[in-house]
Amino acid sequence: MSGRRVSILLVLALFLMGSTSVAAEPLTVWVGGHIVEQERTWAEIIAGFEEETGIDVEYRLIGFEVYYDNLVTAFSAGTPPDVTFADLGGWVPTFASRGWLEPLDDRLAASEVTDQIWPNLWPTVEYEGNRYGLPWYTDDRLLLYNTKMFEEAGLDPNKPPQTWEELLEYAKILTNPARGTYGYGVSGLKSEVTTLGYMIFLLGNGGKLLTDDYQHVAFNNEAGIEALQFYTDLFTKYRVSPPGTLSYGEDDYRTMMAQGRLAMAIGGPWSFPLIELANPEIKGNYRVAMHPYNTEPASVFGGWASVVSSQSTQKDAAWKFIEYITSYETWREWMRRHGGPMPARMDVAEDAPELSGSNWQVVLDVFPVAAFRPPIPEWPEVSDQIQSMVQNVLAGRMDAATAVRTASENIERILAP
Amino acid sequence: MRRRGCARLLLYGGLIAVAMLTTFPFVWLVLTALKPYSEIYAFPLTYWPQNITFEHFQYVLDLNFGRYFLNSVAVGLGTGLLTVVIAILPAYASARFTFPGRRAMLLSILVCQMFPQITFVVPLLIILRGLGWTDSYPGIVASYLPFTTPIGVWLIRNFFAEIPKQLEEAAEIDGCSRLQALRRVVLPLALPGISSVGIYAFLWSWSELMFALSFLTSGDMQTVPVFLSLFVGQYQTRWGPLFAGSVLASLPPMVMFLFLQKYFIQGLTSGSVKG
Amino acid sequence: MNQPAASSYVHRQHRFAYGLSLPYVIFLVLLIGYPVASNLVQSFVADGTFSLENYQRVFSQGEFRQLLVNTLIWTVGSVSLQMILGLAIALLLNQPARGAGLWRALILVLPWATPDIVAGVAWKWMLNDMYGVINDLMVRVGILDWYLPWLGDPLLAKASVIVANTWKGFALSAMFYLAGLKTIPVELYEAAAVDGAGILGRFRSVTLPAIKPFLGTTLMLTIIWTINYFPLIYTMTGGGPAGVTDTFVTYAYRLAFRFTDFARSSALSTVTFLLVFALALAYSTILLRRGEDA
Repeated sequence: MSGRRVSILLVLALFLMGSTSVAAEPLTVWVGGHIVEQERTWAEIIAGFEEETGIDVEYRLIGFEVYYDNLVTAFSAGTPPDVTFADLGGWVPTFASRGWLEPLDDRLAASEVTDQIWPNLWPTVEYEGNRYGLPWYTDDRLLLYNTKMFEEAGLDPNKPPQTWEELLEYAKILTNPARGTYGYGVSGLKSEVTTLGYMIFLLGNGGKLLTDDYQHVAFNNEAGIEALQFYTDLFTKYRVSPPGTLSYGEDDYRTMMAQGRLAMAIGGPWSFPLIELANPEIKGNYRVAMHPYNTEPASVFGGWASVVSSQSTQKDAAWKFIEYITSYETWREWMRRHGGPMPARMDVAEDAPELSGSNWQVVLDVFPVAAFRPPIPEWPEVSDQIQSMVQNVLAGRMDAATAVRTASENIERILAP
Repeated sequence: MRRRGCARLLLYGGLIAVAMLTTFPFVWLVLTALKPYSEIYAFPLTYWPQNITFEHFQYVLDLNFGRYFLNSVAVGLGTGLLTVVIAILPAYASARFTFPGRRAMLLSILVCQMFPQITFVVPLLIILRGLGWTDSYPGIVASYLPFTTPIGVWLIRNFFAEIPKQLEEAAEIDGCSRLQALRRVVLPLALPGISSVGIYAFLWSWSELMFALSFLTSGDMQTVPVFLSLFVGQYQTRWGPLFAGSVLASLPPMVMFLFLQKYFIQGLTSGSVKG
Repeated sequence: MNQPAASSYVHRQHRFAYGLSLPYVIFLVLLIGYPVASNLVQSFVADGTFSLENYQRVFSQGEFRQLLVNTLIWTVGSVSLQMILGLAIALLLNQPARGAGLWRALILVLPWATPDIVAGVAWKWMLNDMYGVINDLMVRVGILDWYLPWLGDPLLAKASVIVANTWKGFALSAMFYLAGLKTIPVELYEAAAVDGAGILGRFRSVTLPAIKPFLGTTLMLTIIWTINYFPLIYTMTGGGPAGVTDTFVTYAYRLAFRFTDFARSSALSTVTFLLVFALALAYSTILLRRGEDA
């Protein structure tokens, strides 16, 4: 008898639960990127937001490897989340050009947060004169090096290489193939990091990828060829980069650096916790500096922005959420817990005691010269061409001049209206 | 006697060699999952974990791995069972009757396998949204069936064709209907084949990521591969939890396979009926 | 037996066969029809009008020939390795051994049950030349003098993805062969042995005929499956180095989900489909004709 009553109650309760969850549609939020360790922080921040606003949030974490593809699928099929994150490396214009994002200009104009964002971040979230995103965190690319290996090779860890010549000189000293140690890690993998690697050398040689109106190729010249030549020579000619260069990027090199087998590579603030995770003993034995350059100091920044889907039925709630997670208080809490990453807010970057170490000082000092990747919808395809260009030279299939010419022709075709 | 011993040595030697080769990547996953991070990245490599740790397993379980696991089991069983059930009838028809359009039917079934799976993601998501089946078991199973049933029809058809017609005819003379004969005579004889198709479908859904990622959006419904994809991150892949999760995820397929072994062996004994 | 009765019997049989098959065919057409149709439509539309532009762009692309060659090498390499390894392992596993179930589960299920994304990153990691276990092991054992850049060298990378794919996929053919072998009565072998047939003789006269029907089907399905399979390549090399592991499908995937160029991706998918279709048609013609002769 009672068993039956209980089951009836259960069914009723389930039914009620089902119907209420349908009635109040939650705000959907997708969080992508390097997030697994931050799962709990997200859960608590979101709980705080729900409590403060009474808005029900359903959030989902997505691994970086599949994040972009997953977003493209959801947007294409008309099932996107209300709020999501977009990489500052060209995602926002790509999505905006397809009509997937909501312009945020009016909301940004009325918000206190806007003035606090690093000004050089804005172009990465703009498309055809409108702003589609609110930058959330950022970083810049630097030279990451192993001070212990410097010392063992008789080099002064307080004087990292500043020019290309010094880079090569140091790298040669630090390379010892018989012991399996190498001086500098050239990103040669078929992936965005290879584009970033080439960009740093190109910019450091006074060149740039595209013209200022993003209509044409701008590296099809002496500066562009020279940069590619030097970047690839590090592997093909001087052999200061490991034999597997064509399959490695910054992450692989950071691991090798933790193992004491690679002395220098491109890295950034995200590298700090990860290199210590791989080898706790390296703490204090690695450092960052401005990446060596030929004619002009150079860096490229990355990071993430929050965006709102144009199909969202809860744009006000979505904006409230974005403002909440970008607020001063949330960011300070975030810094307190994780000691990073670098906030897109200048005031937090200034106030946070967590960012006062010497490595962080370099990050902040270099930031003003950091460039961004061309914010154009065609960026993924352009970047793909640059990766192929670098790989073709690394694999000995083309010389630098031919590779630059081929890539330029292809990119011109991609950019043609 | 000596020849038999020699053959045995060869058999077990072969089994061990093959098992070592094919399971090596997996063994490496297990060993890695038991190491702390400092050891995972240690150089020179340590083969045997110096300090065995279960932190990665703990971490994975704390992230509600169990839920993903159960989802995968449900989706896998659903896909496996439905694949077999759906495939049997058309397989039987094409194995026993030469009707006009049979070849066209077999081909059209195969055609479904020929398009790259990637072309189905967006259209299927639109269909599922229309049906209100996104983020649900029926939705994901329905999206798997077009990929698992064709292979089922083709293979079960071959297994049916191997079974002598006379057995059914005898059953029909005894008063069975065609379908009764199928159930009582043909199906038991084709069990090894049918169970292998079921295992195939189960494993297909067990490791499928692209559809699961796109069609299942809430943590309550997602399957194990979606969970594991969380650890393949920007800047770094988290080997520990990735491999720990993967090791745990391999248990149900193993158990299920061991369970279905029974039907493989039944096939052996029933085979002698034929001779 | 008179003519009308026979023909009505045949008709009844046909109707019965249709009754068994049609529901399934309708189910498939419903679920597959729309995606395939929308894919086709998409591939013929550029700027809102009917056009062959997407196809022209696919064919005129400098990479097209390399993609075709890569796809063929990847398919032929993976399929032949999988078929041979699958058969060898099926024969081995078919021998009565102690703990047969466990052996089968270990050898067949583990590689297969490993999710693609895990298999991809695990292989990539094991093949790393600086800290990967494969180089380390081979140098320790003495097979190699020094580390090889498995994924950094065009030729080695090509071989590596094929080997990884063989590892991931051989179980499919092995399992179906094994199921086929299970239909052979032990007596047949004994009879052949009594007749004085050796191992090879028994293989030719007993084993081969029994697995023949599965050989064809499995071969065809493995080909279809391999051409359309991409996650492993995608995670291990991203199509590199220098494009040597890019296939039709990895490229079509990039076109759609990286470059959001769904139209060109659809066109390339259709081309892939036609390639597979031609292969399958050839096979099924041979297969079904032979089946009817028997």
